[in-house]
Amino acid sequence: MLFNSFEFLAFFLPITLTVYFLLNKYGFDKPGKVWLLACSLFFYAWWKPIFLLLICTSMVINYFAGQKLNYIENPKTRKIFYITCLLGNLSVLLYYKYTNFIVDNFNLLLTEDIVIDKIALPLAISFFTFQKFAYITDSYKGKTKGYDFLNFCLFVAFFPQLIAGPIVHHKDIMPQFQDESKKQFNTENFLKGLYIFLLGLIKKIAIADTFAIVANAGYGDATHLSFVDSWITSIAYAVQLYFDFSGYSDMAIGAGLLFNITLPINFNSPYKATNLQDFWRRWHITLGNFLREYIYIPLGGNRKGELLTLNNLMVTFLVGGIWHGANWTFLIWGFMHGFGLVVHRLWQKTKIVISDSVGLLITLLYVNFAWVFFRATSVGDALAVLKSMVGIGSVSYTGSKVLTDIYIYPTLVAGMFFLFLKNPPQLAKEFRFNTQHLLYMLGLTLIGLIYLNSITSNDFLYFDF
Amino acid sequence: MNSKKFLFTYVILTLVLVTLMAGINYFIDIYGLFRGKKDRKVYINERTSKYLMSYRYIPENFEGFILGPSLSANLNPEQIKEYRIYNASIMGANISELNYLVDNIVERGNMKFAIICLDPYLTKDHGRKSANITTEEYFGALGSTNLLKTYLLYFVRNNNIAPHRYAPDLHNTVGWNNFEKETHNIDSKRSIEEKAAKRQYEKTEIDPVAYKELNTTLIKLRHKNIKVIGYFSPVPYKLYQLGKSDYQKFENDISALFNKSDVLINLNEDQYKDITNDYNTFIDHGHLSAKGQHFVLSVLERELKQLFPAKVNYASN
Repeated sequence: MLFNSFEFLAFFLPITLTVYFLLNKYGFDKPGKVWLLACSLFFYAWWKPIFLLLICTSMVINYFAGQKLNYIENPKTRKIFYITCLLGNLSVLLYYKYTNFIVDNFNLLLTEDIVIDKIALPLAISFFTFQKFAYITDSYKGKTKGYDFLNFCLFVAFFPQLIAGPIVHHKDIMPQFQDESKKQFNTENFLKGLYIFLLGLIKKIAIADTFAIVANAGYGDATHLSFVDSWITSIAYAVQLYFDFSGYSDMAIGAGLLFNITLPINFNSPYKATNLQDFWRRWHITLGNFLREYIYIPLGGNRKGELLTLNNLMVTFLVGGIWHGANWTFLIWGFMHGFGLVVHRLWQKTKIVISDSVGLLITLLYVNFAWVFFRATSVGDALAVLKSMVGIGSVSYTGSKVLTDIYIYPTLVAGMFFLFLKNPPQLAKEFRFNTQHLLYMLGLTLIGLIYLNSITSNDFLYFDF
Repeated sequence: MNSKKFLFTYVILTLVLVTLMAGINYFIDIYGLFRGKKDRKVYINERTSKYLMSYRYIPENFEGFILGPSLSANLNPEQIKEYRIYNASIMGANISELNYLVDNIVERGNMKFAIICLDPYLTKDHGRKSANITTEEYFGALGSTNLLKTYLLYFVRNNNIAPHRYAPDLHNTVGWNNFEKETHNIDSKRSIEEKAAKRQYEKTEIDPVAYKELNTTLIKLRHKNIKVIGYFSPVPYKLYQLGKSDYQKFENDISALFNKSDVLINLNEDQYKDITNDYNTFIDHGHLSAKGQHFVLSVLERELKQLFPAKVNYASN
């Protein structure tokens, strides 16, 4: 079910919310949680019910495995059990996400002709596998003792964050489900959540989906783009991806807040970053935190000398790249970011200072070049777009074929402008119960309704990961 | 104000605004969906507009309709005075897309005849080419981006703001799309001769699914006692001669779908050579000029007069 769908907004969300708070109001705490869990699983199953089996099995096994792990005293047994748990989760992810990729490359490398069917990727598998990695790792460290089964299931399946994050950590979320003060309907949280949700909704359906028209037109004909169109296409996708994914995150945060659950911020105006390190502190923050905590630091972080630090950075971003998808394009994208961070780190040693505006421009350009690999369906397509962007080969310098619909121009201009304004989490901090914000909310509601009632909406991009 | 008052005011004002927005759009009813008979025109997005008009406007106001791609979209049915005909042709549409309109029209109306432009474009592929023809657009008529765009173009066209790009009288109330007004600097002679020099002519292959869909359309029409009149659209003589065997194969295959109760006219027969060999019949390598339109409509009018000699009375007009 999509956040921007009629069934979600008109039925699922109001019904889930009303019954949840009614049950809590009359003291039925546990049934309230069961209801929320059931609704979350229904939300997940809406796409393909068969995968409900996968997420439920994985949830139950991981919970009990994690709890057992907390209490194993023999260090060797504990480590073997821990690695087994990790491998178990990894093998599920490998099977669903990487089997086709591995077989294709195996065939290519050894000129074999192994044919297997295309394996359908269960929705959100990358996200919930990450959460379980964290839970198992913390259980190995003895940090999850006594976790309640129902709270654990809710932490995994809580629908606002289930499909595409923010990637939540059990230590941030599970205590909130136990907090008595969060069980009653809270008008202030509800309104603030609704405000954030509406901002995210507009980002997605009005802005991201409009930029998608341009980006899709360009990448649909990646090998024949003119110089101008290659730039328009790549920038359109960079903007689309930001508004799409951050819009989804805002909706998730807003929906969470309706239930009095605070989800972590995932984006902080990333295109205002003045260097690549700064970018990763602002872009997909929860993924960055997980990669740092569960990949970079266990590898040794920056504690084992400069050379290993650079190596760790590179490995972390290669993992981040392949996490996004089973394709060489994602690996190259991860490599580009790892390499960029290595260069940034080395640059810092030179003590040469560049102005923020120059830093911002370099970062934007570099990130934009890297997004070409992220979006293109093949390395060949990505290289074709990049060649056009830098004017290599037989590039034409004619006008645009991707900017044909003049009616979307105002939204495109507005979108570029909004990139550098305050973001929804910042706006939410300024939210007050006054006429000004009432008018904002009414405006957002009306615009949202008009766009929802139009036929432009696309799926969220991060559902593919 | 406190949070509870804020929430209450927000809910009330939202309900008021949404009702107001839907109410105004319902009252304006630019596609003739809600308030019955009124003259309605396309202002932009021919696909969605004509699809929405197929719900009420076309079935309630007309006794016949023309169906086809751009080759028939610029036929002005007003020229055939005795019959109320709507031109439901859509630029760039194939039979799959046109079927959505046919379904609505035959289900809701009391049509006497359907004129089908049998150009290869109609059957060269199948399936929806865009998301513009969808049932969701029905509710979009109460408030959507497409509706706002339609209002904008209503304003632009009616106030003659950019006539070169948005001609005020591009469409009329009977579905005529006079796209020649917005198609500038096309020289039919040069266009046809260039094609002929390159030995290019229209692709005449028939998509098997589209072929079946056309057959289903014909069956549907006959089932509702709607007289089927098919015509092979005139092709510039030079191009027709160039691809004669392909064109004739197309005509034979399509003719096989028509039965004795239908009318089938081939405007590429030698008797029409004077017309099809005249560059002035076309505006480019195939679309009809005013002269070409007049020719096709005259043939159709003659046929209709034979089929329906007396003018049909309209209870509601």
